[in-house]
Amino acid sequence: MDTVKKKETLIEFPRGIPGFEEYKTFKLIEDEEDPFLANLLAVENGQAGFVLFRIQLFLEDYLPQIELADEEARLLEITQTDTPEVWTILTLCHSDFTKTTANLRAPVIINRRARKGAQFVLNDDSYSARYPLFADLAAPCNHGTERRQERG
Amino acid sequence: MLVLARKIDEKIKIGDDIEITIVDITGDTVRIGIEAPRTVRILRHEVYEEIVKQNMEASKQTEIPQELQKILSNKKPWPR
Repeated sequence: MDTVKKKETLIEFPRGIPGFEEYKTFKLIEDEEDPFLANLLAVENGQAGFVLFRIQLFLEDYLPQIELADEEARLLEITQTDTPEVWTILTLCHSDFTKTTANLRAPVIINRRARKGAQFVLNDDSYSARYPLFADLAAPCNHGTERRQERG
Repeated sequence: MLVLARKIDEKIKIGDDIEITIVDITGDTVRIGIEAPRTVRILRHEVYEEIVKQNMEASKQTEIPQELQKILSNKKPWPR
């Protein structure tokens, strides 16, 4: 059962994560056989954890939308030779995992070399914070709270 | 806080490369045009709150469910 190798990397989030600003250090746990998913756990709080999805392997037209300001690039210590990784936070639907959504509005950018990360909120209103992971199964999770209406 | 009175089509300049225009005023709604470099983060305040709320909802995952891994290995998201 426990034959899958896990890789753990400590990543500093200098600004925390919106809603969790008090936690600055997270442990990124990856399954060596699964390049798509990772678990991000707050080191200071064992209950605060996120499932991350490596979105850059899927939505090619999404990446050019992510352009970091100089100040943001400095925060992540990005140099010219770095290729920051683009992840999104998944909101899982435990009654039916096919109804999982991805937060495209606020991707998590990780500079693995410098071990820095941040979640940035994109300006573009067309990216949803609850984008269905499987587009053909877009019905909302019945365990979620009420759907927020989109603002026009 | 600096408070300025502006009429429709009048502008405000912030720094060298940000310009704000009052586009329209209807009842209690003001439409504002913002010209700024793409890397300047501009958000309705509620959007940030929405992200906080979404993060709260997504935050209790201390491990990756095997079932989700299984689904993702069989079914790729966004088949475009």
